[in-house]
Amino acid sequence: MKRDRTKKLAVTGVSSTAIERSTTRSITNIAIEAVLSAVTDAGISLNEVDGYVGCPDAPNPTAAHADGFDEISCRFMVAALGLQNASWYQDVEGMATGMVVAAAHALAAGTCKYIVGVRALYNPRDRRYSATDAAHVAGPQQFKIPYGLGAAGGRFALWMQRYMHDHGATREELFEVARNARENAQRNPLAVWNGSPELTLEQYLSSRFIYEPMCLYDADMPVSGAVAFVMTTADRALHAPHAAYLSSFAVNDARRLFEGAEILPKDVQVAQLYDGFSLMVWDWLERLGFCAPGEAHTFTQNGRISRNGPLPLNTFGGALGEGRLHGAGHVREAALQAMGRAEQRQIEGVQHSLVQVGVPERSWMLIFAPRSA
Amino acid sequence: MSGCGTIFSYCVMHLSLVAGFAPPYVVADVELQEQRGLRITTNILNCAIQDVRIGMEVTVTFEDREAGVTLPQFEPAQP
Repeated sequence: MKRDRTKKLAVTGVSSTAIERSTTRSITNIAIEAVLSAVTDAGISLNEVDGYVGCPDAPNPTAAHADGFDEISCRFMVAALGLQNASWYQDVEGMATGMVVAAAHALAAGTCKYIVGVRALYNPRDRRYSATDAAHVAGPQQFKIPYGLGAAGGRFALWMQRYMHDHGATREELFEVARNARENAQRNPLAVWNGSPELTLEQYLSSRFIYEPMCLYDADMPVSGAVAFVMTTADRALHAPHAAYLSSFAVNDARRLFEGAEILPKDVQVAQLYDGFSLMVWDWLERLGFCAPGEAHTFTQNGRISRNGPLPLNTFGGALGEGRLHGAGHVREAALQAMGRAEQRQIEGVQHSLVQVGVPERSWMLIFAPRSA
Repeated sequence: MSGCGTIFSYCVMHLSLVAGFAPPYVVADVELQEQRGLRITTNILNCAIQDVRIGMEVTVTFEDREAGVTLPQFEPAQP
């Protein structure tokens, strides 16, 4: 039986600012540009927007958590955009796909007509990302910082070491995720890696370790930039210049995602899986059922995840190739692929465009379908 | 608590991100002998980095960082 939510909602506008390693712009300036561009892309005007969803957290240990400096709260943005009378606005925990899930609920409740969502990241120029000199820490950090485990990467390096031990996976196999990201970034003018030469296995294996066994190329790069989207109901989407219909969404439970769209993993034509660290792709290929547990390291070989392979993965270069937008780039690309607007990155015949963003135990997943499907 | 466990996983930190730590150093998840799945994130001391292995038996050692702060860390178990 089809679920109520099936294809009742759509993303009708997407946008991205420039994605820069270092910027002279403020996060406010970046975020507002993204919102206004997304609204224009959706063919509406800002005064038709009556809902806002944000995802403001700057999660690295160095973050100042200052509104308007390295984060932008919904209160801040709603005031800046003049949307104080919006029917609904909220900041959500988690990542970019979580914004879409929250907006879907608000639209399904019938309180909003057009919701704009934005994810903006700001990489301060005068600080080293994730470095900390805190003399005292509290909360969950008290069990990590005193052992020199500051940035998120260490946790994933621990996961990788165990995965390699349990399944016989190798760094040579993980290279394919980074290589694929570098290759696909050449078709994405926004990507930090756009214009960089092909990544070779030799370069990868000889690069410096960050959190051994993870090397430089296994971690995405901190950037400043923003992605925004406009979501609306299916009846309004009929009149939009373009639309990516939300055929399913789920939190944590991949089985529900496929049930919602009434498809199987093999029916997906293109997938954007979160790659803040390369090995996260392995984890979610398994959790989503694209392959069996412990098999992702072999599944990803032999061109299977290349744009010409059976499961084109991270067709925009991923976070590894584009920059650390915490999955917002993944959502933008998934919507563009379903709209048929991914230009030189477009995969032919997309009927189911999947995006997953999150960490192993917390993840938000979407499947978009084109208007014709 | 016996203070005994085995290394469930480990990584070698090569970046100086946390003040007071000189890389390279080992961060590990140690599974405590008392209960399967009960793990503590910690450092492995008194062991050459290249000798650290998953499954290695370790015992607790305590470091006094400052007044009121004592940190449990682990080192290879004596045979």
